[in-house]
Amino acid sequence: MEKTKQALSSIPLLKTKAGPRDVDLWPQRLKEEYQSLIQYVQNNKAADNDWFRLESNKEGTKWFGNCWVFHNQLKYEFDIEFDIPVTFPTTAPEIALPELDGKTAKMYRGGKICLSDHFKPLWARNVPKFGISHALALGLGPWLAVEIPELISRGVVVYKEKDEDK
Amino acid sequence: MSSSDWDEVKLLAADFQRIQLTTSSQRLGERNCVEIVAKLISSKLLDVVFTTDGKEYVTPTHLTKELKDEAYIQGGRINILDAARALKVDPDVATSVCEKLTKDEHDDYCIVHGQLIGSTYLDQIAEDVLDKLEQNGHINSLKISQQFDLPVNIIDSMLEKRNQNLTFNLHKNKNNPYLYYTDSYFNSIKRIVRGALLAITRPVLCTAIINQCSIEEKEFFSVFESLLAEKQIPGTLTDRIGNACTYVPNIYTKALNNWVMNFYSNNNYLDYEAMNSVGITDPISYISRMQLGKELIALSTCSIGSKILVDVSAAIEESIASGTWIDIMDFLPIVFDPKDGKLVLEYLLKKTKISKGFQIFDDTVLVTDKFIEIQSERIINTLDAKVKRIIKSGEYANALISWKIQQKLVEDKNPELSRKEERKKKTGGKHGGGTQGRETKIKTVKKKYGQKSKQHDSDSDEQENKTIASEQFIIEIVTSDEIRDNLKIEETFKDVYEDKSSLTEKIVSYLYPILNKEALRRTQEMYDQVIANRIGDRRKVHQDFRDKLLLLLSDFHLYIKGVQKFDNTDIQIQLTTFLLKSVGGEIVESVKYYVAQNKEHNSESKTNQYDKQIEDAIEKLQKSLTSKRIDDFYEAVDQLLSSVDVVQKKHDRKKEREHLQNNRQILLNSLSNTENDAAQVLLIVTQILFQSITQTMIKVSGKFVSILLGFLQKHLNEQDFSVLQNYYDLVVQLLKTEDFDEKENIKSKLEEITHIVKDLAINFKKNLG
Repeated sequence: MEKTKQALSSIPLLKTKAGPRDVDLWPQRLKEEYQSLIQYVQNNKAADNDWFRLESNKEGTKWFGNCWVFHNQLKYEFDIEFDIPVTFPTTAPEIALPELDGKTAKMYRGGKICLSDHFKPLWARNVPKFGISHALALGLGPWLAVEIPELISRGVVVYKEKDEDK
Repeated sequence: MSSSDWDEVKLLAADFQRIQLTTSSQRLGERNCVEIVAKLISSKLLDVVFTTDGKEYVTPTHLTKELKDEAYIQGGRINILDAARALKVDPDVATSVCEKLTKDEHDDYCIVHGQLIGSTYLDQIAEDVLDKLEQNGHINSLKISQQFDLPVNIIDSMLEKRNQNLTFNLHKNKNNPYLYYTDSYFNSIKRIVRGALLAITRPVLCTAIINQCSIEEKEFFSVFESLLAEKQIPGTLTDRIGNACTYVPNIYTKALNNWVMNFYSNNNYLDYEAMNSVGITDPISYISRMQLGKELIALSTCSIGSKILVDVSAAIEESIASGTWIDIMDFLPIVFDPKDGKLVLEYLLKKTKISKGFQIFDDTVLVTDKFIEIQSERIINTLDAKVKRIIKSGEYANALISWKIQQKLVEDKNPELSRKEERKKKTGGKHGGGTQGRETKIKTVKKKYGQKSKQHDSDSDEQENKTIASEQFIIEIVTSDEIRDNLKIEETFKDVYEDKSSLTEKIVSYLYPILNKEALRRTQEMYDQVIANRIGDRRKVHQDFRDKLLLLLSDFHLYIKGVQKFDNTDIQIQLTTFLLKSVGGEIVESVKYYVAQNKEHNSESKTNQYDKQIEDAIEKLQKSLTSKRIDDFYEAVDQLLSSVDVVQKKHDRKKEREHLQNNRQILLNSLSNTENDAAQVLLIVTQILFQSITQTMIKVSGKFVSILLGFLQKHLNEQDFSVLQNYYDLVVQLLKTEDFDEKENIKSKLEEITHIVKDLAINFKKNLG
């Protein structure tokens, strides 16, 4: 938790409150998102804690990529996809791991992860300061850390040799 | 504006991608580090220890060094747990590391009570201890152990290790392994103790010596032992009971022994009290330990030697032989108490096997049976007078009756008892038989036992004894006082009476029942005799009475017969009246006398009716006397005779003649005895002559002489008659005259012819015969 807090504090906060529909302000917001993400990734890499790859469409409304988790010296990789909701940034984006759809109870239909109860109030308190990077750091990161070892132990998720790193 | 913004966005997105794609820095993250180390540990390529916070790894060698440092900082001694906490390692790990350390460097480190202790620390302590030891001369490792919180064995081993290179010798107390001494200290105590022990001349409690010398008790005993081993102590210790033991110097033992031997050789006994006073607490066991103990006999207050025993034994034998008594206490030394005397007496009697012929009083006084016999005989003999008195006074008879009544009452009260006795009598001496017989036998045994115990009780309590005695005996003939007084007279008691009052009391109470029994027996005998005599007397009295009565009656018959010889009825009546008066009176007198005698003999005589019958008869008889009629008289006499159980026999001619003969003889005798009384002579002569002539008896008084003479005149020759007549005249003259000279004259005349008259009477009979 401390680690998460530390990571969170090093992520730059956002200023602009604008959704994709705010044609004027959305690029500004998107810029800040990117800057935040860049900083976050840089931080992660510096801490030897790089754990995802992410890119978006041109408008910055659809995001996709992948993420990975090390467990017992094995790397488990999952695809990520999510849309920026219209009400963004008031509501947080719903990050989905389609691969794991139907494999765990902590997930909505379509592979959207069920975030912990305190994430939503936390987010609501921090509108518009929180952005995508925060959603990843506070939402997906902890979820993976908790759920994946459990899924592996249940045998639902099996290690697959991937030649990506090679 | 917006396009530029979008451009910027594009640029940023590109930047983002670029950044993402750059390889992450080569720095090893903490996570990986942990993982790597874990991998290394699990593959046993690396030997490290986690700190408790999990942030650091420590190699064992480093930990060991750290522990050593820690111990050094703390002064050579550290609690392993504290160290583990300080070094942030697991206590288990720290302990195992410490264990390894002590194993590897066992000279320098050791673990005690979970503490790591370095040799420097021990050295320091040892130095302290030795300093103290040198200073005080002695030290207690236990106290050190407490002081430094170290096990005693470590202290001990530490001291032992350093013992060799010390400037002084270290000693361990044998009685207390925790005590250490220096030579000089030990020697100084030794000197003190030896001095004290040498100075002691009588038994002293060790605690007293210890207090006096102001040394430790344990020290004293170890020093004592070492001195004993060196044979430097003139004495011994008694057996230790706890810490209370006594030192007894040899000189004292010797003196004591001498004292005892002297005492014994002087007195031939050993008095426990005296022995106590010189400090022998257990004289009996002391004596038994002695050489001469075997020849001594242990009593309750002293032990006695053979010499005294021989003396006493001789005295006892002598007294038995001579039949007197002996008080053992007189032959024993004064210190002996009666209990001892009793023991001695019992012992000697057992030894000499004398078991009979004596009684023991007061436990120590032996009285021979012979002596008792003599005494009791003597006392019994003094009692005859008393016994006679008791019998005579009727006291005995009364007591006998009341005793019998009492007995009867008791029997009535306890019919069971009497029944039992009956049964006892029935089954007495019955052998074998059914169960019934055996049962009763047991009962009798029980009863005997009870009686015995009762007797025993009575022995112990004199008061009780007396009451029992009075119950037991019909009458108390000999009182305790009498016995006592009699015993006092006995010369062997005279000189010792004051001291032996209890003895005499005992003898008295012993003799009391015996003597009373004997006296009672005698009394009974005498009483029986007296009773027998009395019955004989009564019979005799009755016999005499009967004889006399019958004699008088037959006399009366014969007299009446004689009277009938007279022709003149007038004279007959006169004579009969006289006879009734004289003979009848005599009969009445004799009957009265007999009745009175009878009354005296049996105070509560048979019946009053009997008495009354006799009295009636007597009254009637008296009346008949005055009636002047013979028939009345006979009737009254018959009644009287029947009332006094006298049977009148029929007339027997032979007896009558005999009777006549007797009467004549009586008359002749009285005649020859009568000298001066002329009237009397005349009366008797006439009577004799009358009898000779008529062969009947006559009884007359002087005034009938003339009538008799008249009767005789017919039957006598003239010469004889004239002599009689002359004599008669002279007698009449003598009676009538008053002149003295005349009287003398007549008397002389009468005297002249008296013998003639007498001869006449005697010869007349002869002539007839």
